Amino acid sequence: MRTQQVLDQSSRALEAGDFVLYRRGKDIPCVLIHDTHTEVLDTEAAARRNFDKLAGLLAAKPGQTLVRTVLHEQAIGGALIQSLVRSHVECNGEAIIDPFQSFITYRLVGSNWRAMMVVCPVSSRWASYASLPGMEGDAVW
Amino acid sequence: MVRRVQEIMDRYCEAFENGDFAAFVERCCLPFVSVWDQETLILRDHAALRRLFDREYAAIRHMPGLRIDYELLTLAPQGARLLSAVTILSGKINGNPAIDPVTVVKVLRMENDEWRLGAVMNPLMARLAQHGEMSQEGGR
Repeated sequence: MRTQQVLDQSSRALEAGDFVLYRRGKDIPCVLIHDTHTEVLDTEAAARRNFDKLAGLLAAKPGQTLVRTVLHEQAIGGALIQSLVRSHVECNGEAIIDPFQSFITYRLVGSNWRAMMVVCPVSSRWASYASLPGMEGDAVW
Repeated sequence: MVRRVQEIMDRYCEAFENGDFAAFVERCCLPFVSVWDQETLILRDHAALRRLFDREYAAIRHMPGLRIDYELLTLAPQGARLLSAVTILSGKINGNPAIDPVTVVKVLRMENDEWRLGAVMNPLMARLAQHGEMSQEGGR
């Protein structure tokens, strides 16, 4: 799968708190389509806030890892791919939320695939996990 | 559900063919997201959506008699209120192929008891834009 490597890079960047690495795999604007609303990350600051939120969640408990697998890819012309992704979070090898699925769309920018749209219900386990008390808004990846 | 989504897409086709913005906008979410090969347009209100619609309509108006068709290939629910639809867009004039088939993905959300279009990923738009003098700034 062409986008698995980008997805893995993003997951490792979130676990390491490495925004520069994370940003390599993200396009701006990036659109988050939830089941109740659409959120647009159209600035570096907005992308950074989203990153900080998710990286903070993963860092809150030692040993947490984000496990994401591309199940299917749909090419949309030559420069776009929509990937069906299964995600879950593990802590010391044990799943702490059930796997759930989302769609991530990637755009080919130069020679790199960059995520530019995520379709994921807010009601998903990850979104619920990411909306713990003290966390503003939603985050889905 | 498949039939309902196909009906919605057919209605969008008619709206474009007829330049009928009211029919088009009736079932769109805001912000509406139009994804092309190399850019993403965020249409935050009806005025911006109108500008994009007019430009897209201008792009196909140079092909009189064009009939657009969306064939629904797959429909993937994401929870109860989101759908991702993979479609094949094609176009004919007097029964003859005028637009080569291209994969277009649409994202729909259930709002006010109806499926509404939230995003379209259409690699053809950049090519159509060349015909219709669509601005790079689009409706952003």
